[in-house]
Amino acid sequence: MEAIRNEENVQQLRNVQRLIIGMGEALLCYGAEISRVEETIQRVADHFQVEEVEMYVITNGLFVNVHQQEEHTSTRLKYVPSISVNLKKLCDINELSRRIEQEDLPVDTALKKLEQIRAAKNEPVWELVLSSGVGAAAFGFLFGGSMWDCLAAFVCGVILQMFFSFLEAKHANISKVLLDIVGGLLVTIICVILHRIGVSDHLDLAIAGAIIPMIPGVAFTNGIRDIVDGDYLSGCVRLLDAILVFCSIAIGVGLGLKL
Amino acid sequence: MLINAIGQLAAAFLATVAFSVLFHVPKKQYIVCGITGTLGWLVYLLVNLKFSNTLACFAATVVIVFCARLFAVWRKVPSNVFMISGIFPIVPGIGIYNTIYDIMIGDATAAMTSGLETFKAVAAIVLGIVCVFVIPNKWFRGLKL
Repeated sequence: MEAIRNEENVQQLRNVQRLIIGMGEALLCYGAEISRVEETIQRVADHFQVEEVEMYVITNGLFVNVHQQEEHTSTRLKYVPSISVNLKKLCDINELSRRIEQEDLPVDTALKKLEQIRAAKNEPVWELVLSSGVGAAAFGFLFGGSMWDCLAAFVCGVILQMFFSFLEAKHANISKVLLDIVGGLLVTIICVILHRIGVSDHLDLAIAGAIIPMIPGVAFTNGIRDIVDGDYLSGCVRLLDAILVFCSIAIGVGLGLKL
Repeated sequence: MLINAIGQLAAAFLATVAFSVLFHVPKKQYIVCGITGTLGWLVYLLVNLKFSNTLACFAATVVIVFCARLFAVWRKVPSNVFMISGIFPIVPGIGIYNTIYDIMIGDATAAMTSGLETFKAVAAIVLGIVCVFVIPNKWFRGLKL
């Protein structure tokens, strides 16, 4: 009898570990800051009465060690190589962790919910393309551009997002640095052409608006937050990422202007 | 003047909502995201009337991040949702462009000037985020919204 109980406990513990590591991985991947990942893992583990949970979370990976009744210790490591920001899924997982606590969801149900969240479809591509264009155009206006500058920025934003979505759909494995250089180059060339044929009045405002969708806002803000929270390592990695993207865009735009 | 200001605020709203779509923010939070960005831009415009660009960036960032944390408690979502898209209008895109342009045409003096101006704006944003995030989470959670 004792043996069976133990067996069940071990199984339960394994599932809890699967759940918390899955949630942690998803949170990291969708653009959460380190402290949120740690807090979520801790809360879920506490809720399922894991005796001891020890974790180490950095920008691109997490280690979780759970320990129960002396003999059962298990450590798992999850590598999170790429971050694709998705704030909706981030909210959903946040909601899930709250529901686990408040509604006392069993582990299996929570695991299923987690799978559902991760498998959920994103917005259609045209929505992203359109919003990238509108965003770029609005920035052209904020910087003081005329309606024609906004139009140029809109065209650039649309083409840029189409380019990125196309590559994403192809699962092309291109380094981020190269991608941002090409993005900057693409934007600049289109803007210069539109300027030459007389669409936009101010080349600078159109380009400045059009490069905004590429600015690494998430890496930048999360990097600062991580540093404020005392996660210096992750914060530095993220800020480095942000600076690298900034520089890549600059190189791309510079190349385009030189041509 | 007034019409221009309203146009600016509308553009800031539109820009913020567009970026929240780009970052896959849940649909029911679009409006709140837009409000965050618009408030930030309003503060930026007002402070910029009298003071420097850097100070305006700082004040606007403080307002945006504060609102983001407040709204996060109200709407029960992570504050990132409002902060990331809300902060975009303050990003010194034109400064970044000018710096690149000045470097490319080989005007070192102008590049230094615009580079420094951009750097100051970014530093102000960093400082603004830091200032609000040192406020403990408990204070926000304690609010009954």
